[in-house]
Amino acid sequence: MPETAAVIPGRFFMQGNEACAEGALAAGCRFFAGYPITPATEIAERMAQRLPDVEGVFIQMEDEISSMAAIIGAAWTGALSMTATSGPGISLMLENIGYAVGTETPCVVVDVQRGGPTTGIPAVPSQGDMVQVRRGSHGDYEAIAFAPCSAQEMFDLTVLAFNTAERLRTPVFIMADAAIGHMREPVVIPPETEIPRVHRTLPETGGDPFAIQGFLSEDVAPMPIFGNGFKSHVTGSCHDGYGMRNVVDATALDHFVRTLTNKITKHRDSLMHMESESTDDAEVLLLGYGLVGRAALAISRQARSEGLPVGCVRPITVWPFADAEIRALCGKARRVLVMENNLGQMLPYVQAALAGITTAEPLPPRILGSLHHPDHVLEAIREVLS
Amino acid sequence: MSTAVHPMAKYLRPGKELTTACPGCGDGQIAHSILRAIDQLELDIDDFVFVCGIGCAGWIPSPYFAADTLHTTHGRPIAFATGVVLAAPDRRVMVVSGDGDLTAIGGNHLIHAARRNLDMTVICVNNRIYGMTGGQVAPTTPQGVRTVTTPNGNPEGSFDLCKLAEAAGATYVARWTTAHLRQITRAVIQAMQHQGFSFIEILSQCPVQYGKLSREGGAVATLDHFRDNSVTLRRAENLTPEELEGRWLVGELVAPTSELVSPPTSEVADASTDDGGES
Amino acid sequence: MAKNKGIYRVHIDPQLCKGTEGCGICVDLCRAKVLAPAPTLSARGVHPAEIVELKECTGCDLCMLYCPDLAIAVEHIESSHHA
Repeated sequence: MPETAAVIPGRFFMQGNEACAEGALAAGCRFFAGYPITPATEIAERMAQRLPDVEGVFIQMEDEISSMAAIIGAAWTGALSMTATSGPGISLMLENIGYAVGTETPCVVVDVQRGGPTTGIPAVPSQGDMVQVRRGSHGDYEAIAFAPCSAQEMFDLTVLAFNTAERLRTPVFIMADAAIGHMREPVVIPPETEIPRVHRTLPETGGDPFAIQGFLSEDVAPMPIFGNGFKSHVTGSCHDGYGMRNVVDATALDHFVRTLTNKITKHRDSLMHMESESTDDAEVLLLGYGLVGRAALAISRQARSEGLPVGCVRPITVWPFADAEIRALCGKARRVLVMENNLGQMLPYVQAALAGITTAEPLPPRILGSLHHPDHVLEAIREVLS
Repeated sequence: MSTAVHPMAKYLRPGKELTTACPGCGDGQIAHSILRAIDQLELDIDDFVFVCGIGCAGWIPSPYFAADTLHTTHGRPIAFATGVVLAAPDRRVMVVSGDGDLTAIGGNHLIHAARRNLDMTVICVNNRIYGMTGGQVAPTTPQGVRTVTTPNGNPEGSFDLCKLAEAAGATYVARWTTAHLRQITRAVIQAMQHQGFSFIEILSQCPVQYGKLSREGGAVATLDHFRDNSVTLRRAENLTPEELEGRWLVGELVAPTSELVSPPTSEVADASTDDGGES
Repeated sequence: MAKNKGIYRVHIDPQLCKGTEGCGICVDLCRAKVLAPAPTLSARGVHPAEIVELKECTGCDLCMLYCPDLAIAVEHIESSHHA
């Protein structure tokens, strides 16, 4: 198969990690910096093979900290950039993730989650980093994350992640896991003309560089990338709309934090993607995301076929949290079983959204790190219904 | 004062001419030496990306220089600069940061960028201490020196940064001090013209932290100390190891033979530097 | 030192000079003793460098070169050498 085009349309039997890499290329990614880590390394390997053919740049950095740094540096030259890692790598990247948020740098960070904490089991899936990507870096900030449930979604949501990052000038996470990353499934790649691409807006060139306000607009300031005479000043210090540092006035910090936050929350509705089924008359709802969401859907259908009033909600956007959407979908259910491959990381957010309305309970797999078994979930459903 | 505007003032960001550096700090001297190199080569400062880390030296280009500037997280400017130089090879990438930032927390990125021989210039401002945070020991603080985290004297040895850079693979390495500003400008010129990884260590006075804690003294005292204890390669050939102990080897320590600067004969040497006619 | 020193004008910007107490590099470097600490405080609350013997200036430009704050500019009205 000739692989010199960025987008190779067709139907393929493809590994999730490979589909993610192809999605990145389709979205216009031309810079990847990463560090090997199971179970994400195939993404780096694929990018290493494919990027030179499309005049992109691949570099294996010395660690995850510098990988995140390098993709930010590249983004400031105008490139669409990406890294891919797992839980331990996210832990290392957190400081620079905060830097990307604070400097409004578009980039994509793929987290193929594995069994943790600490070294854990590298090749076993988990959903252990859900809160880490939301709150792991210091300070107040918003995060955007999508959770694919299939190799196809690894492609589609990576394209969406880049477009979202470019639109809102912020890092965007793909929350996958070892199972999705490594499984092989049919993936359809459309022709290049059918792939939506969003690119950041830039300030107009040729004007007064010192008049450019390239930061801190709730409606996303134009990005004064390097090499255009913008004399851009990019700093992680608290700064104003001109990028000028102010580490003296609390009012400057207030403006800095609130504007960065509002930039995301203001556009929250446009970020929401969700799948749901049979929620109207469900007494028990299965709520799951990522690959677990796919299990939730399958088990919900199986329960229905057995006459049980069950439905399913699968958030695709996991951050910002779909509180309003979950309230609307789950409000009539007697119980929501929150299926996660962890000890309840999204659970408190679901419970807070449904407080006073209905009860949400955790339902991890019988054995953490393995997939939910239908029998186990059906047993829990029957227990609620009895 | 219209006819006496400082020739380097044109490169500064309006409203940022008064820096936050301490009185007597070497940072300003280094800033101007860099600008003079750009000016002498008649380069467009808009062709540059200055990348700097956390610490006083990071404030040399940020926000002082009116140019594209990336002020990064602590220790990481070289990593960010790697992304810049690889994604946009047409940019002139210059990292300006301090010894703590580049060789303690950032040491790993320094050695790998040198190993890769990336086309960038790294200027390491070595004030032998962590200045901005109040005078803590650094990997470059000489053994025995008192700092706020070595109140009984530094028990550890210190790096020879130029040897570190050379061993890692840097293909242009130079060391000077803030008592050698013309030489710094010449080294920066060489580094900018060099294709590959250039590392310039500049010993710089920190009168408020290092000078006080070590009892070395103020700006003038440290500049005298630098002047008296800098030894060029040529002079060093005639000195014993004991005579070289505690002194700094200055000059171009690593450079491709074709790029070595031959000592200028017509240029007026700094009246204040005793460089034995070396440069 | 040439008999004909040339004519130079040294300008010190007291807004930029951070004071001879903490700095004093220019005063120390000038071999012609053109500069000295001012007896009065500037608006910045320090004793800036001031010109006390302009006619002794040789136009070596070291003060302009070594000032960390770009506070000194030397005008070469009539130069005795190529600087």
